[in-house]
Amino acid sequence: MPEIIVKFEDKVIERFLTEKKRVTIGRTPDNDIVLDNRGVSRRHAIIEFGDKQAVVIDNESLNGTFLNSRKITEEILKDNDTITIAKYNLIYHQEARRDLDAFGVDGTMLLETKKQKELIAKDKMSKKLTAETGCSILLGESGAEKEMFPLAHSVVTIGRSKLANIKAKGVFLSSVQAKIVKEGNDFWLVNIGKKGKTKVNGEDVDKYMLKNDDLIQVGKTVFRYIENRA
Amino acid sequence: MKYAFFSDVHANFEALKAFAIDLQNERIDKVFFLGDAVGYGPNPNECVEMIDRIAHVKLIGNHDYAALGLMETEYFNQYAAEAMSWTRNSLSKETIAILSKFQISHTFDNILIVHSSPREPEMWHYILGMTDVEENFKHFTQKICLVGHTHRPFIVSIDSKGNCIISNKPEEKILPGRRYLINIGSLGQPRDGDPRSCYVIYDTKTQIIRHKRVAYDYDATQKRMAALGMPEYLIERLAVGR
Repeated sequence: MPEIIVKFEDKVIERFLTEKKRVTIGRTPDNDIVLDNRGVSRRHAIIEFGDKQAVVIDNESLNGTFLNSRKITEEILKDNDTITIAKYNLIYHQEARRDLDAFGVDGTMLLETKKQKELIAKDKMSKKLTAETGCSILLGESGAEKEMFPLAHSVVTIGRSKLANIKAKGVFLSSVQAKIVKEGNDFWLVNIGKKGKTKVNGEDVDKYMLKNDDLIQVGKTVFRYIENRA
Repeated sequence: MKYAFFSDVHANFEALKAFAIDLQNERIDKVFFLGDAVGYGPNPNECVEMIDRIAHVKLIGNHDYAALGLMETEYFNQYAAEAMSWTRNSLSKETIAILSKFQISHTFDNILIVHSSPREPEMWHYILGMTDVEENFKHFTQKICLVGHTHRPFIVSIDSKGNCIISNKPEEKILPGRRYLINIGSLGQPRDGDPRSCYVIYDTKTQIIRHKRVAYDYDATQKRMAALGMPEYLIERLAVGR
């Protein structure tokens, strides 16, 4: 059974598996392969499947049908040929793969692998940093004085004052706005200033037990909490 | 109406809690659970109790079946079997009573839901490739069939001439003249490379069906599993969704 991989701007959007002799391609929903885009004619092109080979035929479309980047009216298809119609690329496979996540190296899978790599890289980075300092840390995300603040003491203060252990910026901010207190293996973030607010992941907090990767916001300064998991 | 379908919680209470919050944000009218409340994870009793509370229709999965002692674990992989023997020892009487009431399949509104496959629900077949998909399309008459079990989301449709479309988009419009086989993914142990929970929302008004991803605190689940001495492999996979 042949298959046609439909890509929009290089992202796989679907696979079309067929046993029909004739497949129509166009903008209107009565086509077999519907390409919903203004650059596509209502009945744009046809693929006809013979016993041994398939032929792509342009149906006098407005913007044309291209085969491997060459404008065509009618052409025999070879395995892996690319038919281009507007912003769509249709890849022809003589024999469909039988797996379901056949998007292989394209689209979703690629994104996922990338995301997965990022997650792993982030995790490794956190482990490296906490291993170096031997304790949990705050990373300066924005508006912070330094890139990294080790939470090496049982109480660490955050605020506008020079006396605060970690400086934070902001107009409506107390001189000491918040403190991080170590209790056993846990770190608690406590809002103590009366003027400003302390937020974790966008929510106001009074007393909060920090979790790895939490975003702490004091005034306009943002920190990321990295837990020492060694 | 807005329907939510979720499956394969596998005793991951953190994932379930995040899902429950998301249900409210999405203003879901009716909730369907497609099986495997327990197995692998650290909170079977809490999960079963909560699923019973939030889902309107509840199906049984192979892990739930095994937990009730209705099947042996000889076909389970080593990790699943190890987790299952722990699960069996941890289930409360109340949990067993609740699980025993879960159904094998359910039909409504021209939709069939089943944990594993419409072909033989109690044989727990896996739908892994197009051959399985084509075979299973022959075993239901409804317009849409939703399954779980493999923890890998997909949307496949078939038209009246037998053409199949495997969608690579997170959402699809349900079209007239087509039938759909949809895997809704897993809430508590995704395996498609995305560690976020996966479930399905179907809006009957817009006819849009979509896979929704929800981030949850897998770190907390991992810690609980580690404290219980559960296999490292089962703990680590939650962070990468494999």
